[in-house]
Amino acid sequence: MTRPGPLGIIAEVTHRCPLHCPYCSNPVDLVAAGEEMTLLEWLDILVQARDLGVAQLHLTGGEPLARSDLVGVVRAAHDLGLYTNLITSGISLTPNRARTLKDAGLTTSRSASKRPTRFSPTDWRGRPLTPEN
Amino acid sequence: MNTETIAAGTEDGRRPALRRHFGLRWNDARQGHLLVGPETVVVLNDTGAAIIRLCDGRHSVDDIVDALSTAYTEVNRDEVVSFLSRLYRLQLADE
Repeated sequence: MTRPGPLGIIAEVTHRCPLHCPYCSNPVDLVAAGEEMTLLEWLDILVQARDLGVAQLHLTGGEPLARSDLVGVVRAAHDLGLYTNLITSGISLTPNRARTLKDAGLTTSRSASKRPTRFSPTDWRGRPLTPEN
Repeated sequence: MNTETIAAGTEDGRRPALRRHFGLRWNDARQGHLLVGPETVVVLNDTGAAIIRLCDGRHSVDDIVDALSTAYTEVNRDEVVSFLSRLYRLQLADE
């Protein structure tokens, strides 16, 4: 390996989502649930990513929690040594599911559920995001 | 930022610690260490990794310089302090 690849990957594990946020940057042409990549296909991607030098996996969607096998992706990523970050609305995240994901090796999770009337985006440190930065 | 201020601010036994959710990870493909945290990856050289390994909230700046001096010759305290202040500024570590 002479030229290391990317440091992180953003994995849109599903395009299913219970929300319809106006600011969502998802593709318009959504992949139907039946055509999503399988868990095994994701595992293959993760191994390839690790071999390329990827250190960080951001799980997003759609709503990543819409996949019942999400914990399998998390566990595999953890076993491969990836820092795993779940980006979720938090909707449908029960305490049990959160614990299962944490036990599987999820490193961090961040939620952004914005009220439509008041949209104040922040970065992960909680600092407001403005057009200038 | 004034280097003297940085040095003065770290004199009194403060003990640098990585922020929560940040950690040092070996990257096979790069054959080097990374500092990985939420939405952040910092590619480190060997000396950077050696300093960060000691940022555990238990070692003071002097401890870190002493420990590095056993592994490296001619450790420059100002460079260590300057590296640490970059970690603070980037909110990767607290003193």
